[in-house]
Amino acid sequence: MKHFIYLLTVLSFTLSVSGQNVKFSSATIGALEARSIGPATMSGRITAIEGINKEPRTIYVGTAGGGIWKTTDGCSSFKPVFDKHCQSIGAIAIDQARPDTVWAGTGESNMRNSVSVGNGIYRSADGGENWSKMGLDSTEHISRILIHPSSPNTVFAAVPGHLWDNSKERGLYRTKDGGKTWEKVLYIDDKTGCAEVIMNPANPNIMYATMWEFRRKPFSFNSGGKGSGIYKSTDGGTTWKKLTNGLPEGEFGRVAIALAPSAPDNILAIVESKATGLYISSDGGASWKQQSSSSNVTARPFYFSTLVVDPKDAKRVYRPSFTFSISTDGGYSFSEGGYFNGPHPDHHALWINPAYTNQMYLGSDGGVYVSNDRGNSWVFIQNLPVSQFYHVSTDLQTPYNVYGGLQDNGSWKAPSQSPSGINNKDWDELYGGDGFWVQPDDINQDIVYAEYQGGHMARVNMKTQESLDIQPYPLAGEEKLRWNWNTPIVKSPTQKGVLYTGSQFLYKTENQGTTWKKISPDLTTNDKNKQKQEESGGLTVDNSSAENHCTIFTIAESPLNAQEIWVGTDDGNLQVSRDGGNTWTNLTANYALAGIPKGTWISSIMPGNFDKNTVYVTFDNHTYGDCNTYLARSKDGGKTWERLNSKEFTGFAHKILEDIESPDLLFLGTEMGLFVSIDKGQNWARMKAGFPEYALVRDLVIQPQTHDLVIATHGRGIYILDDISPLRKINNAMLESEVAFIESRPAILKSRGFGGGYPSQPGEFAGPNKSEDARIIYYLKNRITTEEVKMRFYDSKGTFLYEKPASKRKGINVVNWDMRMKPPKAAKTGASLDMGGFISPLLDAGTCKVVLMIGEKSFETQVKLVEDDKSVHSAEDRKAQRNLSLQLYNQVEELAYFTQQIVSLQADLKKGLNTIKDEVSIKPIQAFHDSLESVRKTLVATKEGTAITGEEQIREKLSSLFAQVSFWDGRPTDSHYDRAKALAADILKAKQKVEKLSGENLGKINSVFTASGLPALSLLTKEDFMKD
Amino acid sequence: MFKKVFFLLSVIFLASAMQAQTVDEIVDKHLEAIGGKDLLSKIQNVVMKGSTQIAPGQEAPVSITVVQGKALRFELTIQGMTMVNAVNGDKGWKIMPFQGKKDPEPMTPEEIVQSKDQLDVTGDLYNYKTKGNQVEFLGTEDMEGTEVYKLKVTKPDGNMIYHYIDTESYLDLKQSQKIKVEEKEMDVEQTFSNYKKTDFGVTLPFAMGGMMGEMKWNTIEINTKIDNSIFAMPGEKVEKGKADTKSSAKPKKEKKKKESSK
Repeated sequence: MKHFIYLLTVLSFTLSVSGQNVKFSSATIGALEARSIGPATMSGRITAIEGINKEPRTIYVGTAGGGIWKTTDGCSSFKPVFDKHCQSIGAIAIDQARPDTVWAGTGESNMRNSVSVGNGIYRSADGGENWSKMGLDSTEHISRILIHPSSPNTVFAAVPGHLWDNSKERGLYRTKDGGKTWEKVLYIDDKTGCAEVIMNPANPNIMYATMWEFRRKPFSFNSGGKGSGIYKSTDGGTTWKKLTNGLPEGEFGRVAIALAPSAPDNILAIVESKATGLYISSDGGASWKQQSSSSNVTARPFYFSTLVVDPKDAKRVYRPSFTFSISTDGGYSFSEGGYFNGPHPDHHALWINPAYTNQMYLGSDGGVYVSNDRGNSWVFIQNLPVSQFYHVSTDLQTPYNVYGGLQDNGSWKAPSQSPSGINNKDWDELYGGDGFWVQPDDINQDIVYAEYQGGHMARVNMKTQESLDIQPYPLAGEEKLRWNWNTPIVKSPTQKGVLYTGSQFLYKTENQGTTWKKISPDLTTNDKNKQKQEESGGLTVDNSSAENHCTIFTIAESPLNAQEIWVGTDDGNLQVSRDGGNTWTNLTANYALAGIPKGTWISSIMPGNFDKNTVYVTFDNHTYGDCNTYLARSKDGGKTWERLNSKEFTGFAHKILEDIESPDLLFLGTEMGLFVSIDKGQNWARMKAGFPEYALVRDLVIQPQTHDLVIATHGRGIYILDDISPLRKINNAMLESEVAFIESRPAILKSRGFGGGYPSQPGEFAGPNKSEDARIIYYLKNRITTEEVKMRFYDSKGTFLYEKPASKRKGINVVNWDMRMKPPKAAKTGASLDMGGFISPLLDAGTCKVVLMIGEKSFETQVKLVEDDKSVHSAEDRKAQRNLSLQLYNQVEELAYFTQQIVSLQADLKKGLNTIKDEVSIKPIQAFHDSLESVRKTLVATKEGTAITGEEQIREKLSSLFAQVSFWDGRPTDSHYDRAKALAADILKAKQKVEKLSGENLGKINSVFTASGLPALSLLTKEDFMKD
Repeated sequence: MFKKVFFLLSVIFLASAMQAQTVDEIVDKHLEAIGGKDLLSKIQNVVMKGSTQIAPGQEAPVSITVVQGKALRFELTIQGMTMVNAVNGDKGWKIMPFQGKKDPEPMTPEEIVQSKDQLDVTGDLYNYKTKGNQVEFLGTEDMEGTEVYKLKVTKPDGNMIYHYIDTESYLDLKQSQKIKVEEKEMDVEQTFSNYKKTDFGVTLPFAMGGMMGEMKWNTIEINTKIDNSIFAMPGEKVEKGKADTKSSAKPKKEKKKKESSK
């Protein structure tokens, strides 16, 4: 009975929750959209490129951490088509017979230390617009997808599988029903996966696959084992036979394999082994001979697994690796393609246009390149913002700059705002290698601290272009220092000029790295078994510092207490000192009590901004095969911990950030998403607004002046969520209201004129700027679909300006307002549009009423417009500008009214001419009409033709002057004043002429009109002009 | 006993959670929500008049006249200059006056194809089988925070249009499609709101959002008197123009007769 009651309670509880309580969710964040600022000048790792054979301007690009991008115009523009799914892509395949069918395997298979994980295989039936998950959810890595050419429901997936732990979810998979069910057709053991599969295009029953045993540990890598080998099937993948004849003895590592499509019994394989080299077979794998073993062919087999034979020429072999090697003799000898001005090193994907084999697309660690001469020269594609950041920081300049380090692409800086958007040219490189932390100096704007892998840090002077190595070295007799691949360089939040870094010891400098003070003992576990990096790699030694272990990974000084320093290590130690580093307490046992595995990588620490006993920590245990999201909080300085969890969470955790103004607002970045909480971590919502839903979020920072959240992604560059203050104001009570305004920051009055910033070229990335409009922000409980939604604007004196349609989505809505008057009314005449009818002066500072209308209901709020206190123009000069702009506004409208008077008078005269038949009466009517026409021709350009007739009459001159003055914030020039006066005189002259003409003609003509039964002529009134 | 209760509860949960929808259920409920198949079948022409803002507070009058399946005329007026797009049977023409050229000129073949696509005022989903449209239900999706059913409509010419149908009201909240301008593919989206019942009885969106901002309709008249000469390109030979409008008017009358004879 108990159970029954329990069940009913659960049921009613569930119902009541769903019935009343509106929860904070992705929908609530609504229109608070993040913007991408690149860079694409330095792109990121590309893992797959596939084009449509019959329409080779359509190409899909898969990336290590930036999803899938599609071009349909030969790379002039790209669109991300996988933003609702996992961003790490291992393979893409197009059904060339029905190219709208595209398969994507998630989880890259270039098994470096920083490789991400996937969550299955996906299929699209409409060219990438929509994707359905088709299983293989727990495979984590998929390296190749093959679609059977004549029976497209048969698909093969080569699955290397888990990198960090044993798993049975690996091997070669086959589906015969389009992905509904899968069978493992080639499986060795839980350590060995399938690295590659190829198919004979002439006889799809003949297939070759390479199996690979490999494993990473947090401190080492192994490629090679008994499971590895090359296999052949002659029955469409059902049974497999291992190939050995002529292949090297002993264990294999990763094997790259390719065949010549034009002579498919010719097979090539780069076999990682004790005798790594290229082996070829000309008899379908029955026997093999060793060919080239030049260094680029044998380089890093676990990372460079691409080998491609020209689709038409069986002798032409491409080996994209460190560099791009080309063989013209079937793999016997190789030369370098584009050696002197070649693409970014480290290549992983190559697609050759089969219809024009001179053309090929290469995917590297730094983006996509195109060659039109078979790989000898290359053009960089400049619009793929898939750069892979590790960390981000900002400075206090206006506009502030963003700094960060990129995987294999150095350290960079860009402004958060730039004329005509943030373009490729706005990004400056600061330092080389793999970039990680970059910190701008607090005092000297020319100085930044940057590093490359393994703690090689430098003080860089951006003005003189000098850099000085400032890495601490071991003192005489001191043990070897262990630096993480991604060594922390962290600024003190409380003391200007203080920097921390860490090997196994914590260091502090107060003089820009000239002197480092060691302020801790070894804070790691110092487990010697985890320090044998020289042996790492397996068959091919690979010790790049990526496996360095027992090192400090994260450092955080409390914003409330300069003496309190937190340190987290990659081997699970969470340490705190409350006396500036003299004594240290290890809190590892404490967090483990909250259910967090010991030995986890401590990925970030956030000592509370508000409460000195509160601290948040993220833990990353994926290097032990555990991808759970671990976030914990202590409210007692680290003694006890509670794990904060959510059903929304996906991906292992990289960064926790507490807001700088509201202790309720938290941000969490994981390998698969950005999450927001407005209630101290009780409920979480995934960020989807303008942001890839499963982005790899590595770092987060709030710029303290703009309150922008700056997001470092490992695959989509930098995103900025401008001004997060609305998120601080949302609360659970507000979520229940139908309509609620959220107060926005006062808006700064600025003309935002022309000047500076050539817009980006076609084919180049450009990120948008922050809007400088006033933002009116409101929350709607539900989307409004059956009422009109509009917004009415008033100036600070309460005068109604105009209304416009307003946003109506569920959650937060934002309406931008340019803070200008309604543009002047234009006359309905002239050869082209009056540009003056689209321009208006800025409003005066003050508090303006704004009314949101939803159907008949109205909701009122206020928005504050303030002068720009950073303006270089004096208040007096700005006032002068506003006055002249307003004067010209009135002049433009007066002229339009006057012109319209003439035009309507002419129209009436025309009616007379059409009605009255008496020639004597017609003559003066025609004459009056023609004199008016001669005046009209001086008022507006009337020459019809193309856009540029070059004709300028009073209207064109006045509107141009109006524009010049209105998009400038300071005192207008004397020429502006003179011109305004001269044009006013011209208008007056024309008016006098028309008055005289009317005086002479109106009376006479009116008597004719009346006699003919036509209404008497009269001048259009201003009221009627404005009404129409 | 417990088992039974549990089973019952599961059924309740499942029933509310799954609500497996088929294409036809969604389409039928959608058509019901906008007035029903009967009413839709009676639509012969539509005249919509309204405006769009081309600068803050500057309303530019817009009108669209469509003779179901036959002809269309779109007008946008700025500062007294009127841009026109018109399709009449297989022909199309336009006037693009804003930069100084006020003569009509022919539409490109692509423009004609796209404009003809808009000749069906009853929508892709009404009578979709007869129209040769294939409709596929892609699942529920979050559209700006609102749960929608996403339907993919494949037209006989292969063009695909996605409909986002509100799971509560069954109103069409958005449509998206790819449009080819010359060789270039472009994504085009249109949102629909301010749904109201017209005098004719069908419920239509009185606000439509797109790349150019929002268009609002002040009046939507259905089955009103239309002067067919508005669809002919000015300057076209009179006889030819007449023949065209006649031929476009004829089937309509026949249709009427058929209906009345039913």
